[in-house]
Amino acid sequence: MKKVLALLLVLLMVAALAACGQSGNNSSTPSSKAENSESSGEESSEAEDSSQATNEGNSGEVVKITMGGWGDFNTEHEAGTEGMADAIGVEVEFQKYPTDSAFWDNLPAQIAAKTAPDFIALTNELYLPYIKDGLIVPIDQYIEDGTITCWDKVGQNVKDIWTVDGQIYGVPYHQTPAVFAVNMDLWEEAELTEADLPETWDDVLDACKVFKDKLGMTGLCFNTQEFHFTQYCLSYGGGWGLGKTIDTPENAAALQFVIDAYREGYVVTPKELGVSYDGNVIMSGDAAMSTGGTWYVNDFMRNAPDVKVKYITIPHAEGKDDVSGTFHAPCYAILKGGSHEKETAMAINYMLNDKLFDHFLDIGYIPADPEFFEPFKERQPELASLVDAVPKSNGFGYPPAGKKFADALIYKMEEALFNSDSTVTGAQIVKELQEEFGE
Amino acid sequence: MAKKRIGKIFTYLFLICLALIFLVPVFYVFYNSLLPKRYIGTFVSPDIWSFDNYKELFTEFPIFRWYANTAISTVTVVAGNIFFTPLAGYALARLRFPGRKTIFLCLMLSMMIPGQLVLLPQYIMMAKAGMVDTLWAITLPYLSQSMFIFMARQFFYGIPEELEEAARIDGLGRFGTYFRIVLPISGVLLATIAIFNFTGTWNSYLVPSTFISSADKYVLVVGLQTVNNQHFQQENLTLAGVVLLSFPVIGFFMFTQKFFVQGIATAGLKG
Amino acid sequence: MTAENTGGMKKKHSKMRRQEAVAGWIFVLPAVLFWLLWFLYPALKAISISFYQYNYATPETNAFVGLANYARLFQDPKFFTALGHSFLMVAVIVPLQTLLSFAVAVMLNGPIKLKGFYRSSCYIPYVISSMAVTIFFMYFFLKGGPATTFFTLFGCENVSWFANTKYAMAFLIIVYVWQQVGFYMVIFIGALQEVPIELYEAAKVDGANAWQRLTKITVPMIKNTTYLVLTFGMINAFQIFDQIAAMSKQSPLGSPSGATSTLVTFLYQQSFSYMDMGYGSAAAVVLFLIIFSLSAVRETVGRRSD
Repeated sequence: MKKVLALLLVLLMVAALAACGQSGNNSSTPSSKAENSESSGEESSEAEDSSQATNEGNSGEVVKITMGGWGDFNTEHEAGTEGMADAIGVEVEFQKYPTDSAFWDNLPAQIAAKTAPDFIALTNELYLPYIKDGLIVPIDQYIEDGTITCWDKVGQNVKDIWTVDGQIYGVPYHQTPAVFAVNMDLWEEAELTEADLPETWDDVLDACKVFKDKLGMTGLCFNTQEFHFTQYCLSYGGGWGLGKTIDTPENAAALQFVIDAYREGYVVTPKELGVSYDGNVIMSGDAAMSTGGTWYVNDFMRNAPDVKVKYITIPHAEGKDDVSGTFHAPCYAILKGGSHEKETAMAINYMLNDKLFDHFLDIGYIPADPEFFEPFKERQPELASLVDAVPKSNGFGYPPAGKKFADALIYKMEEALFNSDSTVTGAQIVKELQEEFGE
Repeated sequence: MAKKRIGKIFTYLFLICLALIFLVPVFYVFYNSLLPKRYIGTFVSPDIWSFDNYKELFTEFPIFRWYANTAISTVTVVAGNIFFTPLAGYALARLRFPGRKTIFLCLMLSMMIPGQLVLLPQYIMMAKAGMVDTLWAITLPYLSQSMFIFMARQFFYGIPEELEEAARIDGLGRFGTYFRIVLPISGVLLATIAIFNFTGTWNSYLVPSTFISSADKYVLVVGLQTVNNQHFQQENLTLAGVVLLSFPVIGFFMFTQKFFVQGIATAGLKG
Repeated sequence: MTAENTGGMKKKHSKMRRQEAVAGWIFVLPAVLFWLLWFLYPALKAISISFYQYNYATPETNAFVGLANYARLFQDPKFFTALGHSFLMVAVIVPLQTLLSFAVAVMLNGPIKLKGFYRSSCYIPYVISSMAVTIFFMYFFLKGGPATTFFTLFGCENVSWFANTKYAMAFLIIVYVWQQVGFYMVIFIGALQEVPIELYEAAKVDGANAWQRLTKITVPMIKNTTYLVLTFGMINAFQIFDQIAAMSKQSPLGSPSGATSTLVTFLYQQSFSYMDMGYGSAAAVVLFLIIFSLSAVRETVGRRSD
């Protein structure tokens, strides 16, 4: 009896596994991807119409490729894909992941299972591990064979970001410096004027004093994230230098400034308020100044149109007039394992067009093509000073460990800020980080 | 007598405090979900309260679709567990067959391995079977969960064996006994499995966020994460989402609680 | 099958035994199949990964490293911090939630009006998603928030608990226990109803007071349920994840500064955030071994006291 049962069990198992294997063969990548539409809503149905038109027109088949992202990323890139199916016979579908971590955490398995998107928008922050681990396909060959021509359009400083060990890993599409946002309602309430808007970190401290004394509130906000700490380091003349220059006096002084200002009671972090985003803090009026990005502009327009905010360049340390914070220079990068690499390269090349750049002008991003610098100033007078900050800004320069480094930095800074008994100094932090992540 | 009354008053006071501790946070979140983003966490006048956050969620996102996906997958999983786990639990508690102890031990092991660990191997399997990004991926592997087999086994240990023996003397086979005699008196077990399984599946995030990647197949928890901007979170929408997410479960529980808690109380889920 | 010449009774008996065995196997077959396919295979795969330097996306560079991942674990101070936190949480949470849920169950099992209402309100937190529950609670433990203010009466600092290295763990435990109490309460109420009322009446006649009745009758009578609650409680407390993820928000898991890191957040970060699958899997295997041995110990202790 025992044997019969065991045999039965084995047979069932084999049958089940065989069934799995078979259906696995059936579901080749293109068909499973073809089902992933809908995320781009109406736009994609329009695109489909036009693709049908092409089908009738030149009988060439339209190749569908997917772009991965999260949040409202599709609204950012849609403009670049207009008319693509007609022009090059490639159509982009947007595949939305719930969060960035839901995307990155599962990407290796998706690449292994061939369910990953063909390309993504990759920021110049924690990108090195993905390149190092071979998840990103270099595009040199497509530049050489003329598939990607838009590479020549972009500025040299962003070209440098995306050239790693002599190979090119993506085409950057905008380069936008970080901003320093000031809630002008509070600013005026504290009887400060436009002339008082800070140029240096000492000016910021002076303003913080005013806020503390006059309104009894915290003047400054920074989020306990690597993005914000890096603004301070760079504007002190430091920076991580891809891991080569972590332990420098400039970085130590910058982090020490952050720690001291916090201990002085000048700072509130979003984390302590139970929110995750620094913009909320400026919006709710819990602080008047924060390091941030141009994404503030749209958020405030939508969620708090009556709050008056001014965006200025990131302040710098005394005597360091030639430096500012970081700039974002995200690129379109091809992921490993896609079955339409060439078409993806064509699509990327197509997407860096004037329509996309024009859209960027609207949403407050400075296009990677320097020709658009002047139009940006006209379209976004409030942000015009950012264009001049571009040459003073730098990439993030995180060490190759990427997220591991960022987490370690946050870990140490949180210890310094959120433990009232802590005696950790900026110098200690950069020294420890250099030991662990230095190149 | 007076002493007893004071004791009673004290008990009720305590219970009311207890209920408040459990209920106030729920109401507080509902209150916050009525506020615009900039006022969250503060007390403001009722003029500012509005259902705008909900309106935005319903107009900008396929909430009904996500509700439907959540409902379909949850109901399927619950149905599976209600059918399969008492079956296994009954056999493990009542029937003697070779390998019984081993099977029980094996099933228990699966409760002890962190779910995060098996997630990616499962993903690869699922992708080979062409099930990734379908509702199958979040239902099929979860139709029989060890925790409920464990609970069912404990339950069946607790019910008197005489009933079944009588049925068997009347000529009912093992299957007949189980389906005609045992199951009908196991309503409490089934209700318990249903409600625990329902809440667990309804609220699960990690599994669907790994296995499902297109917006029209999201379940509610996952979909609600996508209301955030690329660069920051929309706290106001998140809070409204939390209410939308919790509302059906609370409703379901309120609806079944009489049967559920009272039922357990009368028949007993014995250890 | 070879027993044709033995007595009729015995034959009938063995036939019944065989029927029972067949029925037993058919009953457990679906569960076993699900287990083999969706648990055993992935689990074995994950365990084997712990002996590799492993990345799914780059199979060409995966290499067998033997016990190197395990050796690395035992030199990693972050691993020991996480291990310590896991044990601390289990040590605090399991007794706390067991006692609380038992106390509430006893109270709600008595002659009380609006029983259903109280029971429901205790149970509601359990039916709501852990992420939501954590968000609820964060408002209460803000700097200057109601709970924070209350606890300053006991000498606690007025800081946002979840964003402070000293209080974050306490916050996590409070949220978790608050959510779980309802679940175990329901299980306890079920067991309490099973205790025969005659026992209490007899004890009353013998002059036992309420406390004696509780310790001498109730506690021993529901011993099996208590074991169940302890086992479930321990297994679940070792695997807390959602609440920590919700608390950490955009910060690294276990924020602030690793104050709420546990073995599960450790293995998640290593496997997923840092793409170090082999190392993370090794941590998971260690966690599994810990839970397994504690359950085994619990089982033997439980048996012996029977």
